[in-house]
Amino acid sequence: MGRRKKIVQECERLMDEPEHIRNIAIAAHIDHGKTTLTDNLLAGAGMISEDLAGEQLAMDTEEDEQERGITIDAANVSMTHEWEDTNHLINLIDTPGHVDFGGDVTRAMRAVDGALVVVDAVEGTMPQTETVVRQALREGVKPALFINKVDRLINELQEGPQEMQQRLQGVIQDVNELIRGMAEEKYEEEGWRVSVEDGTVAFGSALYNWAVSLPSMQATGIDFGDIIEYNRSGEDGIRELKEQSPLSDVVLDMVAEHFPNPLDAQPERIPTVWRGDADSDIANQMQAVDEDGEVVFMVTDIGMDPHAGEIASGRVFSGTLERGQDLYVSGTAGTNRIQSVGIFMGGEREEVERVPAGNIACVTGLRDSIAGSTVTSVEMTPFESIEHISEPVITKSVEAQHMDDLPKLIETLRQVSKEDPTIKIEINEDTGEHLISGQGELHLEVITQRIERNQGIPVTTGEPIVVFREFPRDASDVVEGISPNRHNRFYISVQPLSEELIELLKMGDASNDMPELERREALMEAGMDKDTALNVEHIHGANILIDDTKGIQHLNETMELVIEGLGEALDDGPLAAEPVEGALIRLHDAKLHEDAIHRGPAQVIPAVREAAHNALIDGRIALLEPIQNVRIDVPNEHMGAASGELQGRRGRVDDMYQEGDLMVVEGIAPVDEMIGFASDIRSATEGRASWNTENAGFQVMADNLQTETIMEIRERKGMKTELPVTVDYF
Amino acid sequence: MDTAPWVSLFSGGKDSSWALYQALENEYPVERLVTVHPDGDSYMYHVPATELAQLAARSIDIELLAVRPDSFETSSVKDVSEQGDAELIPLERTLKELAADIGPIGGVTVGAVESDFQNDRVQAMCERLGADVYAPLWHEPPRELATAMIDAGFEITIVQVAAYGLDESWLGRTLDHAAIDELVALNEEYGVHVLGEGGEYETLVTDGPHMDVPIELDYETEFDPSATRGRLQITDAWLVD
Ligand SMILES: Nc1nc2c(ncn2[C@@H]2O[C@H](COP(=O)(O)OP(=O)(O)OP(=O)(O)O)[C@@H](O)[C@H]2O)c(=O)[nH]1
Ligand SMILES: [Mg+2]
Repeated sequence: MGRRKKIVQECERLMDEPEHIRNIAIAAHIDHGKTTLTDNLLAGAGMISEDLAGEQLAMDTEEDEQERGITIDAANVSMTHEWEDTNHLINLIDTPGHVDFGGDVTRAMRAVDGALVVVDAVEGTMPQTETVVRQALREGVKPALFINKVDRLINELQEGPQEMQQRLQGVIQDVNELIRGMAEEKYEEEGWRVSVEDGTVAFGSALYNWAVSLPSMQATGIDFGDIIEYNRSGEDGIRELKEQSPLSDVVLDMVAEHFPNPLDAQPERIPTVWRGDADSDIANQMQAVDEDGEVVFMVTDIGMDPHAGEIASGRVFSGTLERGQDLYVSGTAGTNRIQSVGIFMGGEREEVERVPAGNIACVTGLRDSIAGSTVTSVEMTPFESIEHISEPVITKSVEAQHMDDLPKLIETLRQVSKEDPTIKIEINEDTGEHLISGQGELHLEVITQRIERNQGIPVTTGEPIVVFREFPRDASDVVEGISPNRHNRFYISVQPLSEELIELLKMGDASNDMPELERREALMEAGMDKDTALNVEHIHGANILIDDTKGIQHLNETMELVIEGLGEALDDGPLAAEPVEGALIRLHDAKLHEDAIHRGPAQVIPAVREAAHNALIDGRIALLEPIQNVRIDVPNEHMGAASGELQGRRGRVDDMYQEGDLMVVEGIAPVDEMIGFASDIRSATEGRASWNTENAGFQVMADNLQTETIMEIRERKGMKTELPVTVDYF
Repeated sequence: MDTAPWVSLFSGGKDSSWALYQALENEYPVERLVTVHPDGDSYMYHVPATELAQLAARSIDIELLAVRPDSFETSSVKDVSEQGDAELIPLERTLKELAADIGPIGGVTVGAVESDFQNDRVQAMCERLGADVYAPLWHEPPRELATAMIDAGFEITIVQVAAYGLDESWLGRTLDHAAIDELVALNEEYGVHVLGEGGEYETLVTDGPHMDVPIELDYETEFDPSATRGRLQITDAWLVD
């Protein structure tokens, strides 16, 4: 029997033993060594050859990943590891660190129960470290810490044991502060604090393939002094250290010991990610990881295989996936038939007969599913949608260069949005000029490049432009909306929603399809007063309609049209037809014609739309633009130039401090101004600066820029370059 | 058939004209056209161009009686039903006076298609007057009705629009087969009634088999996009001879 076949068999055996399974993700700031670590864990576990691992980043399988030296797509791998004389199946997802691909991290967290947070010992916790920890905790995923690149402390920074330990303690403390800040209860009471003593922290070098933890140090007798010794005695020393205290054993022991198995994890995780009836059979089956229960499979990733086609991977929470099953896909009608079922062996897909609950599986045949679908053998409440922390902020137009490619381009764009829900695609079949909105410049660049390369469709792309929103800043008076035939009247006012409520709506934590009571509680918890919360009629994006009317005849049957009219008003705001957010709209009164024929859509929609727009204008609606947090690490002599770059972009410097031998400049700037930042900062600092940006939501644009920007957008959209006269406040 | 005199509720628009035309074709003894000229917005009668009804009546060659109620003003009346009733009072009074003059009224023609609101009230009034109602459009399929009007030789001009989907280009437009097709599409998209029964548009019949000579118009258009509403501003109108 071949070696690979043997391992497959072992994996298949372990799949049925949930107590011996660990599903984990590796997450970190960009370049902190996730993929190097993944490679070497796989190599150590005997899943790939050692030559392939490490420097070549075997798990960055895509051509563009190799070229750019970064991970773009999350990668699934599985391996086995013996801990305490028992073999364990470890399903692991290597995630990208670049902020533009953070959607992959968010989705991976749904599939796993543990997050191995990797931090570069030299850089320490960085902006994306904070983000990935937040993503893990939001999903109820338990963290553990691996401090990587410890070899650099010794070889580059020449630190001694004392300094080294101090620095490592500092990193641990920073990570713990993040955890405590985001999940205080779990931190204080459930042992989610990471610590050397508990064995939930390991250190080492993913590149040089060694690691230590307190348990390993106790077992091997190696201390910090020894580590420094080994590192300073050349290749032989490193080889010795790697043999004495190999990376994969130390890290995988920690994984097996400290991350929960599905049996322990699912009873806790199901209530956080699923809002269905907690007493139902299906809830019990999911909590019990019942492989004989109904099939419940959450798709967290869609990939393309040149031979097998579309592959959906994700977590099996209940039941057993098998070929030939007809399964429901949430949000679509009918069922899809499973064509094949597999697991990830090493980094490759391996078809198997069946994948039971508690595992990460990959299947073909689910043609209607997207990343985020709930796939089940009976119709049921789907899982909570996986909301990414940041919305798309930047848009580019793409056009096929050749007419013949038009249909193929549309198909490819649809595929792209199935695979990556953090992208928004607007297809315009009339003009052929489609719009892709994504998380950042790189995100869009990678997508368009993949369309050209992988699909062979030459495209022309437009300049990137940022995404805007419209937001009412004040409470408005009650405004009357009259239907065109004058037989119906609606009385509407708007007021701005609090930041907290906007956030709640954006994260989908209060939505139309939630049970009313639960939604009301969520809204009240976020600060909505009770009377208002009682009258919530509809949620549209990050806007809420409140129905304050009482007993108006025919209003019930007209409400759907009111909602439709409001939807139109909010999708195309009054200033520049950009989406409105943060509006609380109150319907105070309505006068309706008693005859249904006089209050159809052609009457009600324009009346409500107009009233809503006038109310928004009365509420001094203004453009919001996306902003970014910016952090620049730069040598002292270039600090002035670096902060100048930020300030010159309508940015604000919030903090400047020394870290090691570098200065750190922190601040915010509008995304619009950050386009092209990369080359400017490089020339301003002779290439000595490194920087990070992170989308930080939207902010009202300065009044003196409003009119000009609005006109630019209107012109681009072919609208009249003229504002309603009532917009007189800029 | 009873020969008691009939009256036709007549605005000059296509529906009331079609009801009148059908009545004449079926030899109802229509002796008066009755038009209500409301001051403000009307809930039951057609506001724009009702002055033109007089011209139409001359071409049709039936005497027209104009009801000019001074007692109601739309904006001051709060309730829609009250409004409808308020409009009916002067009409009923006028018909009673007319009966005293020319004898008991045999029946009333009305152009209602689907509006229960309009139909119910006219029915009730006629019951009180002991008159019959002739409503040849009632619950007929709109598209077929419109087609029949055009095929019968009705020349129909759109004089007012008030619905999502009806923009300025509709003002002054002749209701022909192409226009009907577009209205059918708008019906599917926004529920616009093909005959404008929900007040989506108003018309003036400028020529037809029941008329001796056509009406000619000079007009300008006015349209307010924010109110989704517009009308012809008729500057001059005359009968061609
Ligand atoms: N000195 C040293 N370098 C390391 C170590 N681990 C990784 N590196 C290097 O750091 C760089 C980034 O490593 P990756 O494994 O690609 O990092 P990543 O976190 O997967 O990066 P993204 O996926 O793009 O976020 C590579 O040049 C690695 O060789 C380490 O332990 N020591
Ligand atoms: Mg990577």
